[in-house]
Amino acid sequence: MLLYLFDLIWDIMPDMMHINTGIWHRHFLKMLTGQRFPAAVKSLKKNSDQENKKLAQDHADCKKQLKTWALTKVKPTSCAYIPSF
Amino acid sequence: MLLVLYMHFYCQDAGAKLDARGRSLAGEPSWIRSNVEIYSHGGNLTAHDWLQVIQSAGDYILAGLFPNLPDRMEAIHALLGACSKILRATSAEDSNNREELDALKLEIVLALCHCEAEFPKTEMAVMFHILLHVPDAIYRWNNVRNFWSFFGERYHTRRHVFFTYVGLMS
Repeated sequence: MLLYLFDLIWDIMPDMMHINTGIWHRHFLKMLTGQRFPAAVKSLKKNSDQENKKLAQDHADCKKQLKTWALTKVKPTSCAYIPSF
Repeated sequence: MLLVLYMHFYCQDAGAKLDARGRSLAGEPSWIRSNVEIYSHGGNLTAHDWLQVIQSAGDYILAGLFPNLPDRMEAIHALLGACSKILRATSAEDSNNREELDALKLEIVLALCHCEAEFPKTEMAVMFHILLHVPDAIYRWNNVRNFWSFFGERYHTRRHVFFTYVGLMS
C-alpha cells in the first residue's frame, strides 16, 4: 500500500561494510589469487555450430584474460623492500 | 654492490609481497591487527580489516602490483581512491555541500569507467554501480558509518547463542 512512497535511490541505505568486502575480497582478491572463473559454457541445440564455437572461444579468451590478473613473479619496486627468506 | 644487484634481479613472488606489506602495517593500536596476510590468508580478514586497509593503506598495499601495466594500476588506484573518499565523506544537516557530493559522484563514475575498460568483463558485476548511489545516501544520512551494518552484525554470534539457549533456534 505504501509502496508508491518508496524511492529506489533515496530510500535505500547502501551498506559500505558489505560493498567494501564484496568488491575487494570477493572479486578483487579472488582474481589476484586466480580463484575467479566464468561458468562453463554449454553448447546449445538452438545455436549453430559456429555460434557454439564462438561461445567456447569467448569463454577461453575470458579465462585467459582472468589469468593475467593472477599474481605472477614480479621484481620488487624498490630496495626498501626486503624479501623474506 | 652485490646486494644491490641481488635486489635488482631477485624476483619476489607478488603474493608474498602483498603479505609482507600487510604484516608491516601491524603495530598501531586500534588500527590494522597484526599478522594480516592479504594474499595467502585473505579469508581471515574481517569486514573491519578490509575497511581499515582500504580506507588508510590501500595505495600502499597494492602499489606496484602490475609494474608493466600502468593503465591497470591506474584503474585499481582510481577505484581505491573512490572507495576511500566515500568512507571519509560527510554531509552535516546544515551544510550545503551538494556540489561536493556531485563532484565525488563524478569521480566514482570516472573510476568505474576506468575499471570497466581494464577489468575483465566477468568482474564488473552490475552491483558495482551501487557505489554511484552512496553519495546520495551520504547527502541524506551523513557519513557512511550512520548506515553501515557493523552495529547489527556485531551481535550475530551473541544473538545466535542467546536464541539457541532459550530454545528458539535449533
